[in-house]
Amino acid sequence: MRRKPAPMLLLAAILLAGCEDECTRPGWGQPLSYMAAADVREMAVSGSDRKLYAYRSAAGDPFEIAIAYKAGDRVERCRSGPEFQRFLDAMVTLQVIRQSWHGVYSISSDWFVVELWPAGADHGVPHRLRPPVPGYPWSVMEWCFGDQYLVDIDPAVWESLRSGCANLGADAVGGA
Amino acid sequence: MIWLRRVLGVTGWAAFGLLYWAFAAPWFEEGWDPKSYDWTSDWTPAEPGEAFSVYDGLVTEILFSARDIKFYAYRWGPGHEFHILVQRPGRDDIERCVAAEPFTRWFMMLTDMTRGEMLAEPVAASPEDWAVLQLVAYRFVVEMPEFRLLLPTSPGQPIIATEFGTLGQYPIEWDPELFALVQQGCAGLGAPR
Repeated sequence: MRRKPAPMLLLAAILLAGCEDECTRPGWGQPLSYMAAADVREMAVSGSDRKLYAYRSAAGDPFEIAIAYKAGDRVERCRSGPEFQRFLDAMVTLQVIRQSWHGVYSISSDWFVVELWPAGADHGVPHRLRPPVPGYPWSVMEWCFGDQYLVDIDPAVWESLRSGCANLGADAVGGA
Repeated sequence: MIWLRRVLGVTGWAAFGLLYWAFAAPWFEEGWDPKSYDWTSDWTPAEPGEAFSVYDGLVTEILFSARDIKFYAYRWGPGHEFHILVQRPGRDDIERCVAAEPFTRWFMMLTDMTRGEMLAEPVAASPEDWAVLQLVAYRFVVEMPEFRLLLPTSPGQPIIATEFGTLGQYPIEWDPELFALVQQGCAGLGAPR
């Protein structure tokens, strides 16, 4: 039986067009954020066992960091050091490598929500990210309606986050 | 009937080309640039009424960030109590407490917002006068409310809100006095440790 390409291509085009939704899919190899690190004034990192909030008043200032830990109901405070800057740089230059073929479990305590706020009247930019875990050495980002993408983040950046002020801070200013 | 087949074939390809150009081609365009995107191109003022309503059980964090106070409330899961951290720029100390009863009323107010008519003449406040209010849901990828708020400077005035994407300024029906407790930090919304 002779197949007719035009109707089949027409059908494919209609199907593709129908797949488009309001969540523009991320582009490969391009930073997801349009914020420069110098413009960031506030950051919140929400994990299942820790919550980090950091702010600064001016571009050249260090961030004032507070980290609350679930374990021991503890709070750390410090001013940001080079490792925090590295974490911030990783977040503003976050790039998608490719879509995750099979995905990972979305409801788990491994995920972090990272949100950055710039100076001025612009809005915050949130990302839901999962660090590499044993058996899955990729950082994963969840996007819009649950689509998952592998993203390019140096695993050492996640280690800094796990270490808290000991790594992220320049000088600890005391606990609370 | 060879001519009919040819006409139908040409018509089919033309229709395909038009549909591709109209719908499918933009789908392949990756990496649109937010810097050059015209966010105001299809903007219309929001109607008065409900601006948002969010299920309180979803919310795990609340950030209120003004020039003189950074208020961050968090909890470890739905049903858990909220903890409050307050930092004030220029001061080294940090306030820390567990949320108390006024916080519950304050928080429940935040989960619903009703707005009035868009202000015909926007308030000319500098960007630093506006505070950010952001609700965060840890477990889900959901669009959570984020607003810039202008708190009243004298009694009887409403809180003015502006939301990214709507551009206009709107009076909202939150109780300004209840909302202002956030500026007192732990003294207003928390229980002493």
